[in-house]
Amino acid sequence: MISRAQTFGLLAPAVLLLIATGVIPLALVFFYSTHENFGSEFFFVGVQWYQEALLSPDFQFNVLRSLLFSGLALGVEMPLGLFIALRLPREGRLTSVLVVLMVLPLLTPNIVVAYLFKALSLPLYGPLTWMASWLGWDFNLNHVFSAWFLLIVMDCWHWTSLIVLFAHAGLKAIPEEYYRAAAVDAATPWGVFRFVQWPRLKLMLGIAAILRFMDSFMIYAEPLVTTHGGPKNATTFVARAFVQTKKTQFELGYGSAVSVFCFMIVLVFAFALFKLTTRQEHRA
Amino acid sequence: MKTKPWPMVPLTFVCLLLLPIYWLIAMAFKTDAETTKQLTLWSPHPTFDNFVAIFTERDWWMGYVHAGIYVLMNVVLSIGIAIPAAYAFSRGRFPFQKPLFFSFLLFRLIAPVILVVPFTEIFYDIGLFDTHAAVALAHCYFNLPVAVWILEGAISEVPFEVDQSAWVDGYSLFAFFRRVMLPTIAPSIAVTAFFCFMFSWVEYVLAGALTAVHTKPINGIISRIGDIAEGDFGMLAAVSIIGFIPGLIFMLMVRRHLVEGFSLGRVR
Repeated sequence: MISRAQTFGLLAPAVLLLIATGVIPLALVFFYSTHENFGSEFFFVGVQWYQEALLSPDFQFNVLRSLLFSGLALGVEMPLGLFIALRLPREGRLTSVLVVLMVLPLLTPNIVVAYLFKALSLPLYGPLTWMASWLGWDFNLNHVFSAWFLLIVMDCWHWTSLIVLFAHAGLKAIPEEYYRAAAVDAATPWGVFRFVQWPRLKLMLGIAAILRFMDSFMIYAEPLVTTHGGPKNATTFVARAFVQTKKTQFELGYGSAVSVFCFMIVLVFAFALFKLTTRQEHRA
Repeated sequence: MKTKPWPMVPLTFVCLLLLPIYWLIAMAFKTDAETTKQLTLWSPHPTFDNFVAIFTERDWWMGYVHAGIYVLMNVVLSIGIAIPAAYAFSRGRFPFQKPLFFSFLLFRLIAPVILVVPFTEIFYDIGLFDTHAAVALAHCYFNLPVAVWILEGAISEVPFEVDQSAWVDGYSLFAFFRRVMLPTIAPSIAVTAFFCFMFSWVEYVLAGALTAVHTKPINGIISRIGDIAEGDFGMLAAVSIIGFIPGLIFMLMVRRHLVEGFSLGRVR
């Protein structure tokens, strides 16, 4: 056993680094969100910025759109990713090749994904637009449905792999004996899924969903590049709004209040999902 | 034993994933007029101008060098500090151990865009603005937790008897790490390094905001160009394709242990 002193000695650098690069910046955001500044002088204003943000209909709609976007993105990516992972063989050369190829989107910066899909959906000569018109669909980013469709497809392209790989990693951790035991019991495929695979999968899927919720809720570059938040405000999400305000020093407080609010939403979601996935099931 | 059928679902999925990447490659060899004014699967007159431009203009190719420097610094820092912490979490018993472990991960849930202003202020004040160190440090808040998580899983896989026999043999803590623990978990360290590399390499909000003329990384250049010009697709495509190469090489080196990384070390 390592001693208490050793334990703290080993932990200290990590804790200090996280305080410096995580706690302090976050505390600063919180400080800005409760102060008004004139130049470098700050005055405490309490919850004024929060009130201003939360009571503004523009902001409320941005939050609702972000939630809807996250819901749709996760609603497509989670089941799709799980389905693909269940069909992916546990091991073998083909699986390794597929895994490597699936990491490719994850290695693509958001900004590149955004421009790539902008190119794919160019009017007339983008391949997506062309395919849509071939199917008799007037795909046009000035239409709300087309704009949302593009953003969801883009998010699925970028991130479904993450779900597949998390689920695949979880499935791989299940010992072969479990499957053999299930076969001996003549379990149905649904039974195998429900009682052998799901218990091992749910924590992995829970972590994946938390990460995905955070990223999709805070989506920024993709709508900015492809749809410019439009048509009208149809694809303006919460991060876009506070980046716009943050760029001018004067609205530092407002932008920070929105940041804190967004982080709180992500935390609540993460906590709820974590409780859900680690809940003990009362069965053998 | 019947022969296994081809896994059609994953194969179809991967083919769909590759279509946009194919388009990215095709665009890199086109002029912008060709990308926006006609639809060709492959340019009839492929041009290398975009690639030539990247390698002849210092700002462009230095963008990769800058990104490489801070990513490397970040990976070394994150892993160097995560290994002892992961060991403490795995082997030590102390109050508030679990809450502390999970609160580490909470930092991974902060969107970089939230921290742009405070980081800019902090690094200005301590004179690190527009240095590689600034970006390398900023990226620690999301990479350190990931590294601690994966490595804690890896260390917990090693039986505690290994540690004990090393103490009996008279190893110091440092010698034990260097001679026993690190070689044992080397593959996990490599995978962790890949994950830190990946997250740091693709992050562009902080990387762009914390740098100016001296250290502007490639992703920062991309987003800056995007702000000014509508398009310039060929150039962006060429830049992105070259940007894939380090990640691809790294990934192929750790490919056997890649899945372990995605389990966040939680494969038991």
